[in-house]
This record gives sequence, C-alpha cells and structure tokens, in this order.
Amino acid sequence: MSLPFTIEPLTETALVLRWPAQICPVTQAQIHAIAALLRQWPGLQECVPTYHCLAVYSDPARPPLHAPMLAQWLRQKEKLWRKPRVEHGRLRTLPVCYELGDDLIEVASHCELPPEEVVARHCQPTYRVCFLGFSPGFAYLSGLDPTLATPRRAQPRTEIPAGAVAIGGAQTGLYPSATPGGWQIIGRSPQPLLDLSQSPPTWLQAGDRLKFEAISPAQYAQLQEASPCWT
Amino acid sequence: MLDVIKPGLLTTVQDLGRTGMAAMGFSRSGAMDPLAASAANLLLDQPANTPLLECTLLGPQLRFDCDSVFALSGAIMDAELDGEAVTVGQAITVQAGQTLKLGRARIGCRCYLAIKGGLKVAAVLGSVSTQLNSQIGGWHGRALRAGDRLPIAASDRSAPGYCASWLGLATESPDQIKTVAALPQLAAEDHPLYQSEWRIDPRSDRMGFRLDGSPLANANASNDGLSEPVQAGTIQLPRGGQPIVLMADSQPTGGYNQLAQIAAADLPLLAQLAPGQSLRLVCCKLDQAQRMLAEQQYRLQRLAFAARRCWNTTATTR
Repeated sequence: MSLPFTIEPLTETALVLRWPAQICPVTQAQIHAIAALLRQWPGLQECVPTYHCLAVYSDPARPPLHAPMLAQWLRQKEKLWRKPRVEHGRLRTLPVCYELGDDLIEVASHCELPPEEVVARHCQPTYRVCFLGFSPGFAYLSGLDPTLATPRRAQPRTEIPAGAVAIGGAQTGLYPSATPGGWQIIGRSPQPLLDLSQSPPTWLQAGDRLKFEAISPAQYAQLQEASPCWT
Repeated sequence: MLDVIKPGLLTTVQDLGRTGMAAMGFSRSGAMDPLAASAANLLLDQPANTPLLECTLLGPQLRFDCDSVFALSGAIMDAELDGEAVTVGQAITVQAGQTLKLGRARIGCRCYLAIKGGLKVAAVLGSVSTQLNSQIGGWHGRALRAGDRLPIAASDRSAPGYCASWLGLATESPDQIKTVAALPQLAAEDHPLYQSEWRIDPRSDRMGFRLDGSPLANANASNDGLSEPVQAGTIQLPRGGQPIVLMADSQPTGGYNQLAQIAAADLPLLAQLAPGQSLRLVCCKLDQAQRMLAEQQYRLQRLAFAARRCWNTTATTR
C-alpha cells in the first residue's frame, strides 16, 4: 500500500515526511497523528510539523533512522494515523480588541468591506493551529475567510506588539512577543501567549482549535489589569 | 565569580542547544561551533554540554575571584593571564584574583572558554544557550556587559601537567578559501551553487550567514512559499538570489526554497569564518557526510578518554 507522503533525508540525522504542498485538514490531522506516535520513540530528539511536512530529528547519540525502516513501521501503524479524527484538539477562545488594530481600516478598505464586517468575518470561523514557528509560540492558523486576505505591508513594522492579531496574505496569526513583522495588525489580545515559567510555555499548541471573540477597549483594559490566567 | 571587566565584541553563554522545543517555535541556539565547544569542555573532563562562553572576534577581559581551571578552543585568540601568554587548546590553572584577557581572533572567528565545573547559569527550557533575538536563556537573554558577575564554583584541583588537544581548534590560514561540504536538496551536483566562490556578508550573524556572489536564478517556488522545517546548516534561496546559510539561532521553520544542507561535520568550519572571508561549497553524498560525522564523534570520544586519563593520573589537589 502506498503512503500519502514521501520520506527523504533532511540531514545526516534527520528525515522529512513530505505531503503535497497545500494546506489541507486531512494532511494536518495525519501529520499530528504521526508526530504523536513518533514522540513515544525513545531514539527521537524531536518532531517538527509544518503545513505539509514533518521533520523527524533523531538523537545524534543513537544510530540514525532509516527511511525504509520508518516507512515500514508507519505502514504497520496505518490504522492509527490514516483516518484520524479531524476534530481532535482543544478548543480555545481568544478575546481580541479589534479597535486596537492599527491596520484594521487599511485591511477593510483593501477588502472593500466596512470594518465591522471584517471583524465579524474574522470572528466567524473556528481556526486550526497548524503549527508553531517563526518565533517562540507564533501560531500559523488555517481557516481565514478568503475575502479577508490582504497583502503584507510594503514596509514591515520594526516592532509588532505582543498579543497582536494579524493578517499576512491568506494567513492569519498571533504574535506572542514583540518582534519586527510585515503582517497587517487587525487587533490585540490581552491573553499572554508565551510564558517561559509554564509547561508547555506556549498558550497554543499545534492541533488546537481557536475562536476569536471581539471585546471592547474597556474590556481589554479590564482583562489586562486582571492579568489573565494561563489556562 | 567571574567578573566581566570588558565584555568583548559579542560574548554569550552557550551549551550545545535547546532541543525538544522547535515544534513550539523556539530556536535551537547553542554554540555556533559545537565541535570546539565540546572539545573545550572535554579538556576539563566534564560533559560536552556544560555551560561555557562563546567569544566572537574580539574576546572579553575576565577576572576570576576564586581558584579555577579553564580551557580555550575554537578560534586562536590572543590570550593573556595576568600578562602571560596562554595557549589555546589546553587546560590551564588560574589563581583567585587573576585576570584573563582575550584579544583579537587571529585564526577563526569564535573562541570557546570553558570553566572547570561550568558557568552556574540557570537553564531555560532545558538549556542555558542564549537566543539573542528572543532574549531567552544565557545571561539575562543577552550578550555579556562590563560589570556582569557570572557565578562559577571554585576548583580545588590544578590542571593536569599535560592535557591538550588540537581537536576543535581553527588551524587554517585565515586567507585560505575553505571548502565546505553540502548535501544536495534542490541543488544537484552541477548546480551553480558549487561553481562559484562565496563571501560571508558583513550582515551575517548567529541566525544566518548571507553569501555574497553572483546571484543564483531562483526556480519557481516548488512549495508555493509554505514554510518547511529548517535548521542550522540549511541553505535557503530568497527571491534576490543571494543564498543564506541558517546558523545556530535559526528559526525552526522557513518559507524560502532550500538548496542544500551543510554537512554537519563541516558546520564548525563555516562557523569559524568571519564576515568578509570566502568559501566554496562542494556537493557531498549523504553516506559520506554520515561517515565524516561519525569520524568526528569518534575523535571527540578519544579526546574525552585521553583527557579523563590525564585528570585521573596527573591532576593534583591544591
């Protein structure tokens, strides 16, 4: 039986499983199911998922993984990952104050929609956290309404504030810490997304589902003062 | 304590990196030249992953307030202990109150200073390595500054009479063009990547080395710009056609086309190149790269055994 992905060496001690390059819920579910299976292997250092890839890094102190061996093992375990339940993953709700989005008006005019409609369409879907990358805790989400797609800013900002909710092309994401960036900021959340004293240190994990909930500036201030709890 | 009198150009606390956190977006970080960092620690008969200092191009000036033993490896830097020249690549005894002055790197770019017992810096997410961009780990997430006081434990032992190694030292002439092996991903053997000479751009840092040279044609993005896993040694090709080699502080995923992967055994060679230096890349087969890496690990193990024997037979208690 054929596997829906290829397995190739990435480095001397790592392999990459690669699905067709697209953002697809079935691919996502298979990637996270396989990552969960592989994380139980003692010889693995870590697994890193993206939209359509899963990198598997072996412990350099152990013999490297071989692609044919991994392929055979995954064929044997096929029942556990081929048709995973797509709805698995926690549902988290993130309060967002869209009035604090510096680029909301720009996004609205690009999309030829009133700003309230941009907010409504951004709050409507249940997003999926496909993977974390770029910077600690930065969540790559799928599920953005295509009518909200807006090109990145011509001049990237030197600092995007922590908690910013932004749109970059057809993607939407969250900035857990202040970093430079080129995405359009449409709102801000008072929820801390990164706390190194917590385990895990990121509020979102790959596989989580996410809803945005619009709040007023007064509620934002209130929540921020109350220093929202982690869980 | 280790008192920082002058911090040097870029001196950071490192170990061999923060593993297991890449899926949450954390960089691995750690020593740019893990071979040299490991060798410095092994010379002191301690685990390769023990916290040490990475000193870049111009080293720091440090005062020991307790008896200790240290070892330098990696770049050959001017080094003086209370005015007396000290040799890199060997264990050296230091008395409380002495000052170690590291100067310019003569050969190579990054010198590692390991201290017997290690720097007593708290680990963040399993590692002390400094990630400068996110300000995570190391000494308050930043490079050392004058006035910093790094905790170290006093050593009641003196260095063994003979405990030295060339392993991990940058030994080539700085003018020579290095040849670094790379595993092909998109860039097969006849790719222009391997035909021309590249120069390390001055804007290079611990996150990535930009390679200056004749721009490469960028084939149509095969993956539509979707991010893929990357790590130290991944050669990316942004739209402009100037390749970037990701280094220790690389983010765990990246959206540019990936041309090739520097052979892990040759990554230390690249890490020791300073901005302005030139290199050539040569296409390497996976099994060859795996053999080179295994050979390097074997030599490190030999060093560990030899150093342990020195410490067990000739090191004295003060």
